[in-house]
Amino acid sequence: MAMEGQIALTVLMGVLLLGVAVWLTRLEDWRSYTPLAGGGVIGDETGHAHHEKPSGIIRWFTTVDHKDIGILYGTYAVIAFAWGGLAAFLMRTELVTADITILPGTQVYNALLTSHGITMLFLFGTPILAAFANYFVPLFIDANDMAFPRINAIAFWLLPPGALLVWAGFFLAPFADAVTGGSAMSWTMYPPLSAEQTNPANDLMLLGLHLTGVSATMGAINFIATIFTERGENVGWSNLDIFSWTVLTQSGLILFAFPLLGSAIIMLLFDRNFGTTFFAAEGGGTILWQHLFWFFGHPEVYILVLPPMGIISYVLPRFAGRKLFGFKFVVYSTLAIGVLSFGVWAHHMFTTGIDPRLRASFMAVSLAIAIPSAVKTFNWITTMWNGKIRLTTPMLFCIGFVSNFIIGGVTGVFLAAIPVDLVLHDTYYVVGHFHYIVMGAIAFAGFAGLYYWYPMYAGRWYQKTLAKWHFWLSMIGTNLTFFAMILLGYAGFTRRYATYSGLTVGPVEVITLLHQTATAGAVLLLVGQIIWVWNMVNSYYDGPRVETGDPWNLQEDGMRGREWLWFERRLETTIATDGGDEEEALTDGGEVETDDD
Amino acid sequence: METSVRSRIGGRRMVLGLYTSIVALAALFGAMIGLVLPVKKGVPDTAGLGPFAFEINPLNFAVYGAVMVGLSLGALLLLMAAVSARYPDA
Ligand code: HEM
Ligand SMILES: [Cu+2]
Repeated sequence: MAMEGQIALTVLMGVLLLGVAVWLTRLEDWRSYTPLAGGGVIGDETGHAHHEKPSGIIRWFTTVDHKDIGILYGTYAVIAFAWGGLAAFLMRTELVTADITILPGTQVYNALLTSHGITMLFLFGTPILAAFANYFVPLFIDANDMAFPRINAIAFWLLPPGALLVWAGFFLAPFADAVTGGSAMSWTMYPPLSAEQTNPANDLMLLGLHLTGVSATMGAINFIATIFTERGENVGWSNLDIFSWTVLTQSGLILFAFPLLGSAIIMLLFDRNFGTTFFAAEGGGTILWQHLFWFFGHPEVYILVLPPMGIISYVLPRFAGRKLFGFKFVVYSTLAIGVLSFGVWAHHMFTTGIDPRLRASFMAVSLAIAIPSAVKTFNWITTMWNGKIRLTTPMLFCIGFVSNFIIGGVTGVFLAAIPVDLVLHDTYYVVGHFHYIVMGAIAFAGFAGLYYWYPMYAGRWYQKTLAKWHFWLSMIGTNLTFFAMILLGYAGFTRRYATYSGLTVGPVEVITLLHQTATAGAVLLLVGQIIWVWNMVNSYYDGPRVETGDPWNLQEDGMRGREWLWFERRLETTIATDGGDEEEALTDGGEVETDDD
Repeated sequence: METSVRSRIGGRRMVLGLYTSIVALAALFGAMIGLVLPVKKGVPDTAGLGPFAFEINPLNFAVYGAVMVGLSLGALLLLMAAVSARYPDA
């Protein structure tokens, strides 16, 4: 019986593969829209332009255009943001009461917690930045495309299977007895817990994470190559824009951090499945994992924050009506952060009993890394000080970024002081600290960018009133939720608990009230994000069309960036040729579109 | 209007407004910490350094928060104003 089932399955797979093969041959000449169609680069033609994009869904599966890939990354990131956000919202609902009431059990809470953390950092955070970088870096540096367009596409397409693997536990639990639910190792995956949990969902998640790491590394190599070799004639190092600088630095960090995570993940998989003892107490020890993980993990937080800082440094001056104050120092501080971020990882391990002398040196570097961040903040504020401010939606998000970043940074500096950390480590204070940065700053910068460039990538305007609602709900929600968490930390409440009726740190009523405040903030955040998604999608189809190449009227202040010039050229060619493509024959018989679309 | 260049706010007014609201928030946050801390077990009655010891209650902590944040951000603000007056075109 089982045998027959297997044969049937094999035959089915064979038929499926055959079907795919036939379908592929039936696609109209697919080589015509891959780069280098017709054999390679000739003369000044880069060969990266596309003859013609196929229509419909095929276009998105086959595209190697950096802008399309940027859109793909963005869409993917928004879906992940929704998943991670819903997980967070479920957790916050559960925490309204001291005992388990909404969720089926504490293990489900742990799985949601894990999924939330991993999703937001690896499936939303890194990809949304890749979305901006893909779309805009080539435009900023006047390149035709990324240095390796096809590697770019491969890097993206590793992500969807990665997400399916990371989330697999939730999907498979109803069908497979062995899978007891989503992985519940938390985002830090500390052994011995992570080595001992038998749920195969953990292995799937590790494999998925590995894929996303490979994807990020490929992307990083591509950005480095692009920024070094594809810059246009008029773009030198001295006038490279601030966003590309941050992407370059970020890519360097990725190059050193992610491969390490990949190796550590494989070691953990071996510990789990093949009886190795890398992280077992009788082998390398559990602290080894913490060192490896945080040597990746701390740079990772700067991987996530540098490009957003770049977006802010780029967008904020546009609406302050003057150029960024102290541009050079912003670049220097970016590079300084890049170097220093590899020297602070043990501030996550102050309480593990590592050598006190070691601890003190990590404290020193952790305090030092606050300086370049402060320099940037200083420059943003000075830019505003000397400017005349237009409170557009992107500008509101920029200002929100700056103020949330200050709170997140200051709370971080306190944590970097060993005596304070010994008290606050593993409390909600830490959760509050990093959420001020990841939600209050990084996500805000993402919103600033999405609104600022909306007229370009959508070709239409979003609804301004809804956008303002989105901002204020997000700003108030963020501060309500995460300040309540800081207070929970002061009250001594430890993180990662689904219930708290048996508390010993203080009266349950106060803790309950603080948790309810945090949940109220989360409701505001949820409503705000629903408004945002609706606005983005609805305006994409129905918003008023953008008619000018300078939709923000930046010309007046002389603040129009290179990307809007490109946009103007595109608007003109679209009107001139009525959407058609100009073509030009190449000597080798291939055809390449001439407009730089 | 989102794209209008007419409705502008002076940068100084904006930054000073932000400064005031952050100091006010610091007072509020301080008051809340003053509420929460005494609830915790094993917390001393007084906080502060040396001669500046004071009882942990909402009012004291509100003042403490406003003064600390006001002074430290204020110092930075003065420094910033001085730097930008010295190098207006940096
Ligand atoms: C301004 C400089 C910063 C300093 C001095 C700092 C300091 C710290 C310290 C000491 C901890 C460990 C707390 C503990 O577990 O006891 C910590 C945790 C954390 N920080 Fe920061 N931080 C800074 C900026 C940032 C930034 C920019 C981000 C995000 C992009 C960030 C994200 C995190 C995360 C995710 C954790 C928690 C890790 C975990 O245990 O799950 N921090 N920070
Ligand atoms: Cu860190």
